[in-house]
Amino acid sequence: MTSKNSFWASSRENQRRRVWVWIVTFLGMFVSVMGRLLVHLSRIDQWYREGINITTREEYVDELHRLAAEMLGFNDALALFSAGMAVIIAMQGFSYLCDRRKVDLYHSVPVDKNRRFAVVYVNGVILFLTSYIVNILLGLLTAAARGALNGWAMAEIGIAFVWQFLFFLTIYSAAVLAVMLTGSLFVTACMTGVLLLYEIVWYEVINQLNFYFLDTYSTFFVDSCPKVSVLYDWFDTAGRLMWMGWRQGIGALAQRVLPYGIKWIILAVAATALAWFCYRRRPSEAAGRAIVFPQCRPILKVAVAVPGALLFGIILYDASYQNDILTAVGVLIGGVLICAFMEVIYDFDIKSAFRHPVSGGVALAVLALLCLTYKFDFFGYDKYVPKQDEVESVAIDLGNSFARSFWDEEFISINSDDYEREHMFLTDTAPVLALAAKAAETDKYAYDEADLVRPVYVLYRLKSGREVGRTFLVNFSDPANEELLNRIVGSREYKEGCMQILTDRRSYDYVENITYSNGSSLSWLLPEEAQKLREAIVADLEDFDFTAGRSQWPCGWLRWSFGDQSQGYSWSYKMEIYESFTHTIDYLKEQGAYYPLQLDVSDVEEIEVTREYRYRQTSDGTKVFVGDPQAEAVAADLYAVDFSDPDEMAQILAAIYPHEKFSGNWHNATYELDQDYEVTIYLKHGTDYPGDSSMRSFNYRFYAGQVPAFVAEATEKEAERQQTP
Amino acid sequence: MIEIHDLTKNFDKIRAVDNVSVTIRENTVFGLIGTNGAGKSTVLRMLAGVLKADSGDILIDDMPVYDNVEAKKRLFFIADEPYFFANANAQAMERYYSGIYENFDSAEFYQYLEKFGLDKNRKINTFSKGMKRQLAFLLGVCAHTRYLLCDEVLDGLDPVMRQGVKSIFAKEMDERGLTPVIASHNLRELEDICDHVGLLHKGGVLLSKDLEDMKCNIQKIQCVFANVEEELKALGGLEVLKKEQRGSLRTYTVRSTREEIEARFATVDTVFYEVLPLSLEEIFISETEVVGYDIKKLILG
Repeated sequence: MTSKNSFWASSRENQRRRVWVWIVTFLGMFVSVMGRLLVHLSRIDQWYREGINITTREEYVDELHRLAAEMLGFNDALALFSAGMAVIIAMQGFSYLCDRRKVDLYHSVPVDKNRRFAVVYVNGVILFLTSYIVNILLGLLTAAARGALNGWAMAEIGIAFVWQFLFFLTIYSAAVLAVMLTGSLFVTACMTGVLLLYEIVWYEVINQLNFYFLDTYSTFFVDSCPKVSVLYDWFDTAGRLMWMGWRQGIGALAQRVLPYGIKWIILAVAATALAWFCYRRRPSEAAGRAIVFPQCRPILKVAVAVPGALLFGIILYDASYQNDILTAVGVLIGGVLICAFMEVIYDFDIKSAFRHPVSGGVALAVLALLCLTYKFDFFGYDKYVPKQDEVESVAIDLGNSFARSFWDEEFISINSDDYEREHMFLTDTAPVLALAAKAAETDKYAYDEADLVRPVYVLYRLKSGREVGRTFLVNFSDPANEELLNRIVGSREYKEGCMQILTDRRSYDYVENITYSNGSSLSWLLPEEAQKLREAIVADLEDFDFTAGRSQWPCGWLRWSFGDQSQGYSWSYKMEIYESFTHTIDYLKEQGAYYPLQLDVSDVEEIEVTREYRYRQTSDGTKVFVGDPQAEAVAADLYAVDFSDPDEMAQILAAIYPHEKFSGNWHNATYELDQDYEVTIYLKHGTDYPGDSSMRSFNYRFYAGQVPAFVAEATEKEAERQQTP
Repeated sequence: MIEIHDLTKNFDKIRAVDNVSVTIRENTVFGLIGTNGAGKSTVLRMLAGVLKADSGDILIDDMPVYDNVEAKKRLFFIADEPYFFANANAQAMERYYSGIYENFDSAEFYQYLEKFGLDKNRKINTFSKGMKRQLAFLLGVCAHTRYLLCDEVLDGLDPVMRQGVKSIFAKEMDERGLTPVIASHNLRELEDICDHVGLLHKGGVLLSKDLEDMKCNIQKIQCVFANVEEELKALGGLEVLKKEQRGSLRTYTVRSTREEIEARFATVDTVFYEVLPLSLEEIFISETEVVGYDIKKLILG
């Protein structure tokens, strides 16, 4: 028999007071788990019956497994509900601390304070767990009855169970801490929000300030993220964990979840320990008081006012198109308002708004200091260039890589920075540091408009182990930079660091097809040719550098299509081919897959040239034509002329380039093509050019300065003809 | 025994209890009297272990009470606004308290409920203020603790119920040595129940004495003397606290025993004399006026 005053007797007594919370938790979970499971099961049944997306029995069963894993595993609705209930359960459990009458009762009866804390805390956890377990079991039974469970789904559900529970526990502990710091339910709710969102808000504020005020700030290679925010962790990660057991195996999933689990346990333990400490120190008379410990009030006020005011300022900065004065006024007003709001909350009295001006002054001083630091870059952030002997290696993204598609070990698409960070290790760091130093010394507004100035992204790997990411401007038109850029682009480390096709030989086992195109043709190569093609490209890239890239136009592109049928993945890689790639072009010719950039006039049916006249209209309706293609214009008149004379067509074909098909990797496309004319080629039926038979017309542009005179004359006449009433 | 030494408590910048020292003997009824805001509830809440004193000691049977389960087992605190669980009835409250107080007498509780005409199944939130106070009182009595700390427990009770409460106090004191500590702002309410009274004002103790001592040592004499010489002869050597005169009728409040006064007056020539007992209120007025307070303003408003 349990003693009258035992832990479990106290626990039972406490549970009696919390029946309604248990009912709400259970019903909410039932909707989040069972309700969603049943709805989605019936939808899948319907799809299968009607043959929508699911046609075979195997697909149907696979879909059921994935559904069970999602609904009973990394279920986002369940996570949202758990987060909400964690706060409610914590607040309800310890709400007596906010009510003097309840405090009089609970603190006068002979029950040990520590035990009361433990009972209420543990009961909150039990309350959640019982509802969660019952609903998951109901879900498992339902899923099993429908044949929606298999090994990986069960294992993933098990891991997700622990993950969801720890997520709840961490938020619950934070909410308990919030209760201990506050004396009224409204303020408790606010404090919980502050504890859970504070780091995310600071992170966003700092990130925005960095972007606005620091020219060299970049998250391209080094993207920091909140370190202890459990909410951020969940919503950043859970989506990627879903079905990971199926995609990569349960071991990989467990390995991925484990660090978060450990982190959340540490956070929950720390928050609980702090909550217990505050509980022990909390005076009973704090019931009804906004903040339990008066010494926390100024600290909290400053801590909330500073990021809040900065956020206010950032919003104004955006809204006012980066007006410094309006932003400063916004920060000031935001700071004053938040300080006043905090004081009103502290005393529940509007007349207290401007009490304690010292802490308000401190908040404003901190704000001013932060704003000035950013505005005038007191710490020399933008001037930072590491010394050469401090740098181990460098990764650089010139914004014009050979290719823009990358994938990870599981063949999931990743960003170029993720790939380059892992694979590009330039040991010849001098040219990168020289470009960075040059950028640091140059006023960003001093560049000539005609110059091709573009941002590049750099990751310095320092010998100290620190990694520093930066961005800075590089003038690609400056001959003085050419040698530096050649040293970078010409290096093997650079090419291997940004061309996955060169190094990732494992992918060759998954090649499904290879195609080559010159813009209008499309020829196919056998997958078995992939290795030989790679060898040819490697040979061609030996001598390729920045100068080679800038001085040539791509003459075609190669596309490798990969697929892993067992995993249901497919991905592709596109690479542009230059005329200097003689090994590659010879190989393509051998395979009968090469087609020159310039089309054969005998294959062309007709060419349509469209002249574009951009203009602005004055108030009296007069059109003011704008000659500069880069200049702003509000509208354009288009005048098209068809050419079918073979001589004229031959002249046109010699002067055009299929701009839509190529990226202009080395920043030479935009400026060196004529933007006033659009050329459309219509191929004859039965032409030798292979490709998509339904696609017979292709768009081109003239090289700058190479528009044939008869084309200009014909389009001008057409314009005059149409403009004559 | 409850011993309070130099007890002080501040709420923010307000001193609620200022250096209070009082001893409450067992098996006596201790009345804690004072105006609103005098610090009665704060003293009681500290006695109950709810509030922690900023300085000073509270010992319940030689044990500090704050955060001490053993000391709290010996007391039951009835707050001025007793809390009952939402939607609870008397039975639910009995279940709660019987789970906490080892000696809680459930049978006695239900008997008392019946006697007081309280329905054990009726929701407490439908009770009147007086009924809630009765229920709180009965729960406290049936917890069978040695000390029962009552904050304004008689407030809101009708005369019959008040009498019932008093008789329960008497019974429990007689049977098991209960020591009630009753805080009230109403002197008349405590007059016929307290053995010892402490008067609080602005957080400090103005006075703490046994009621009997006070009553025995202060007397009111109404008399008409034959002449002035007789008056001087009668009062010579007596400590006169207060003197009033209406025509030839004199009313004296003197510090002395009834016997001594009667012995003196027997030897002087008086037209008429009568020694009258003082009400608690009158005693307080006299005692506090002596130390410079206008008690009417303090207690009676």
